[in-house]
Amino acid sequence: MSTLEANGASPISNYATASDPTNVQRLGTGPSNIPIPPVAPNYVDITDVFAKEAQKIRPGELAMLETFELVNAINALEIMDLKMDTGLLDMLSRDKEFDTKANRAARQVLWVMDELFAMEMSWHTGGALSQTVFTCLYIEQALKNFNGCVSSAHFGDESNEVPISSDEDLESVFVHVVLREFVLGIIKTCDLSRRRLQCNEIMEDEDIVTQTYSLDLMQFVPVSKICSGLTDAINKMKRLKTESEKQHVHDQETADLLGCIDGFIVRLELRILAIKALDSVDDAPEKQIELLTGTGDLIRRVVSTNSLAEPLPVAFSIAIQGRLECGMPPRPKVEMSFGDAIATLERLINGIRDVLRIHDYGSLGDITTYFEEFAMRRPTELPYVRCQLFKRFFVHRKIFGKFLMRDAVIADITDLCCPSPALFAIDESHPCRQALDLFLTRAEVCFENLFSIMCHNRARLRQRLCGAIMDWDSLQVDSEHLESSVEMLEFSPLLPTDQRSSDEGIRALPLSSWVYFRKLQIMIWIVFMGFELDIYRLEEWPLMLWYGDYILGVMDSHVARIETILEITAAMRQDSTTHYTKSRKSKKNKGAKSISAMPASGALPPSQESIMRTRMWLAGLRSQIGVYKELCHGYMCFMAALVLAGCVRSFTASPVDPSKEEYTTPELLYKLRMKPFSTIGVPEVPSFETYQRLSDLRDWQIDSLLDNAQITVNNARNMTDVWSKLKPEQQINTKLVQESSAKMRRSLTRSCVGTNVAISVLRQMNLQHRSFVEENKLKISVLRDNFHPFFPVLSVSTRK
Amino acid sequence: MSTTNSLLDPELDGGGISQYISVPFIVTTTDGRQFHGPLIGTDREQNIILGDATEKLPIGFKSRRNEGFRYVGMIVVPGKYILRIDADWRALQSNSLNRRRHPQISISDVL
Repeated sequence: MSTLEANGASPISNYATASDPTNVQRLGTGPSNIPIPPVAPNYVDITDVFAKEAQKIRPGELAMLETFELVNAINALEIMDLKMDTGLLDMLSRDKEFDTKANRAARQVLWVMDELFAMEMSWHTGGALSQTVFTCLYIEQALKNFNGCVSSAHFGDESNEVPISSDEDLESVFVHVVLREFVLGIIKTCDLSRRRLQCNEIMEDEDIVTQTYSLDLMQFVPVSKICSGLTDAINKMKRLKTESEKQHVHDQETADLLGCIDGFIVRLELRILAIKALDSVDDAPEKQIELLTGTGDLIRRVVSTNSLAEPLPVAFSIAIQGRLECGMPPRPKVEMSFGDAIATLERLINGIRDVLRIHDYGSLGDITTYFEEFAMRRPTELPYVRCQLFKRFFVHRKIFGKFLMRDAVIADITDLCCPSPALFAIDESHPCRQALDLFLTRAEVCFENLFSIMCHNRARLRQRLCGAIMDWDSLQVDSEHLESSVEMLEFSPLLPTDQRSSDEGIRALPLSSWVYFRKLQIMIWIVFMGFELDIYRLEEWPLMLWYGDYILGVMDSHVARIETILEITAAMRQDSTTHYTKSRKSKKNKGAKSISAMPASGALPPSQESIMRTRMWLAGLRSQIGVYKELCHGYMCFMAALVLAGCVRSFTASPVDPSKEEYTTPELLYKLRMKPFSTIGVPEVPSFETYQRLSDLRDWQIDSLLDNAQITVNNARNMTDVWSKLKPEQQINTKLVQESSAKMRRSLTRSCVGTNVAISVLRQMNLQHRSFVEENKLKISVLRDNFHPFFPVLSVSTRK
Repeated sequence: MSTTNSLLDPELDGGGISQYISVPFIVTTTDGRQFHGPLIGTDREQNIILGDATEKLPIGFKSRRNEGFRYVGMIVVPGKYILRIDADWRALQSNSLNRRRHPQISISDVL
C-alpha cells in the first residue's frame, strides 16, 4: 500500500483539491514523490535519452510517423487541459465523491428519480448517454458493480452490497430498494430503446447517440427480472403506506412522506409500463395501445407529486466522462426541465400511438400517403418513433410481414395510371415477362428506399432525396426502354385523342408515367424543402421559386396527360361495355360468332372502380399542384417587387465583393443550386441564360408586380378552399391522414393570408419613392410558425 | 530523475528521435497518471502524440474496469507535464536494428 493510502488521504489532495483551471498549474508543479505505478518489465526509462534526442529536432519541426498527418491530430485530446482532458476532470472531482450508499430523504430520492427520467428523455432528444443518463452517480455505481447478475447491481462498494437494516430504516429502503429498482428500470428502458434504435433510418450521432462506452446496459437480464424487482418495490411501498395510514398521524411531515411514497409507487408503475411497452414493440398493435393508454393517468400522478421533490444535484456529475471508455473531451450535462421531460414523454407516447394507426390502412396507397405526411410533420417525430414506424411497416422484408414491396409498387402504379389489369398478370411465356420482373424488382428497391428516407430527420431526408432522384432517373430510362419494346406496346395501345391530328394518338405508358411522376414529386420536395430548412439565402428565393414553378408546370402537364389517357380509357371502356351488351343481345338474337369490338387481351380496360379511384387521385393532385403553382407565382411576383425596389439583392447581379467574383458569380451559384438536378435527363435543368432572360425585370413596375402577386395569391387561396371542401369519399389514399391533410391545407391558407398581408404592407410603403430602401429602414424577416413549411411568409416592416 | 537503462545506452544514445517512432511508450504525467500507447510524433519541446492510448490512474485511486485502464484514443501530452517516459525496449531494439532515418518534416511541409 502506498504512503498516501496508508495515511487515508486522497492522492490528488497533495497537489489539487478543487476543479478550477488553476489546479492544472499546481498539478504541473507537483511534488516529486508522486506515487507512480510500476511499469511492465519490458519497459525502460528513457526520459533523459529522449530529452537529449528531442533537443536535436529543429524548432518548429515535428518528428512523426510517415503515415501520420497533422489533420489526424484534430481529434486528439490534450492531456492536462481541463477543456479536453476528461481524466483530469475525474481526478479533480475525486475529493468530492458522492456516497451512493448513504441514506437519503424521501424527497431527495424523488428528485433523483425525476432528474433521471429527465435525463432519459434528454437522451431521446439527442444527448449522449455520457451527458445524460450516465451522469447519475447511482447509475454509474450500479453498472460498475454489475457482473451479469441483477443482484450485483447495487449502490454499495464493489462486492459489498449495503445491507438494509430493517424496513423501519426508511431512508435506506428508499435508496437501496426504491431508487435502485428505478435505476435498474431506467437502464433496461435505455437498453431496449437503444437496441431498437440501431437501424438505418436513424443517423447515429445526428438523431441519437447509442454509444454506451463499453458499459453493459444489462442486455442479457430478462425484462421479467427487472419488472419483478419493480413490483416488489411497489408492494413494499404500498405496505409502508398502509402501515403509516393506520397510525393516524396527521402532521405535515407524515403527509409529505405519504405523498412521496405515492410518488414512488406511481413512478415505479410507469417504469414497469414503459419496459413492457418497449419489450412488446413487435406484438399486436392492440397490446401496445392498451399499454400506452394506461400511461396517461400515471403521468398525471407523476406530475402532481413532483412538487414534493427536493433537489440533490450532487447525485449527478459529468466527471463520469473521465471514467468512460471515451476519447471525447468533457461535455456538459444536457439539462432538461421536468416539464419538458414530461412533454417529451407525451410526444413519444403520442408518436408511437400514431404509428400504430398505420395498421388501420384501407389500401396500400394509404400507407404511402401516411409516410409522406409523417415526413412532413413539424417538429420531426422523435428518433424512436421514426425507427418504430419503419420497423413496424417493414417486417422480414415484407410490408407488415404480409405483402411484398412489389404489391405496393403495383398498387401505386394502378392508383396513378390505372393500367390494364392484364399488365401485371402476364404469364411466364410472355416475351416481356422477364424484363417486366426486372423492372419491378428495381422499382421495389427505389420504392422501399423512399419509405426508408421518409423516416429520416428533415435535413437528412432532403439530402437522401437528392441521391434518390438519380435512382429514379435511371429507373425511368429502364421503364421507357421496356415500354418501347414491341411486345409491351399491346399494354399501351395507341389511343385516339380529341385533337384534329387524331392519326398520331397517345400512348398510356403506365410504367414510365408512374416513375416520372414519383421522380418529379421528389424534385418538388427537394426544391421546396430548401425553403423549409432555410437553405436558400433571400436573394436565391426568386431563383428557387422560379425553378419550383417550372417543375410544378412539368408535373401539371404530366398529370394532365395521365388524366387525358384515363378519360379516353374510360370512354373506350364505356363503348366496349355498350358494344358487349349489344353483342350479347345480338348473339342471343342472331347467334353471332364473336364479340369483335372487345379489345385484345393486353388492352383489357381497367375496372370502373379503378378508373374512379385514379380520377379522384388525379383530381386531388391537380388541386395540390394548382395551389402550389399559384402560390409560387404570387411569391415570385412579390419577390420581384422586392428586388425591383432594391430591398432584396438581385440573384443575377454581380457579387458585392469584387474579390470574390471568381467563385461567387451568379452563374456558379446557379449551378450550385441546380446541382442535385443537373444529372437528371428529364426534365432538363434550364440554362443560366434562360433564367437570366426570364428573370429580367426591366419592363416591370412594382405596382403591377404587386397586383399580380395579390391576384395569384388570392387564386391560390380560393383553390385551397375548393380543395378543402372535397369530401373524404372524394379523396383516395387519405384514410390515415384526413386530419393532418386538413391541417396542412389550413397552413396553406395561412401562407396565402400572410403573403397577402405582406403585399399590402409593401404597397402602403409606396416603395417607388425608395425612401425606405435608401435609408435602410426596411426589415424583411421570414416567418415559419403556423405557415405551410414549403411557403414561409416574408414579413416586411420598417425599422424604428 | 531517471536513469537510462544500460541495455540501451550503446545502441540508442544518439540514434536519432526517429528510432522511437511507433514504439510503445508509457508517459507518466505530473499528476501521476500513465498513458500507454505507441509514439506517433514529438517535437523539440517533447510534446508527445500517442495513438490509441489508454490511461492508467495513479496509485491510490480506485481501479476501474479493465484493470484500471481506460481507452482515450489519440492524445497529445504537453512536454511540460511529462514526468517520465518509458519505452518498450524490445520494440525499441527491433526498431534500432531496422533503423531507417525518418525524415524530419516541417509543419509547413505537411500543411
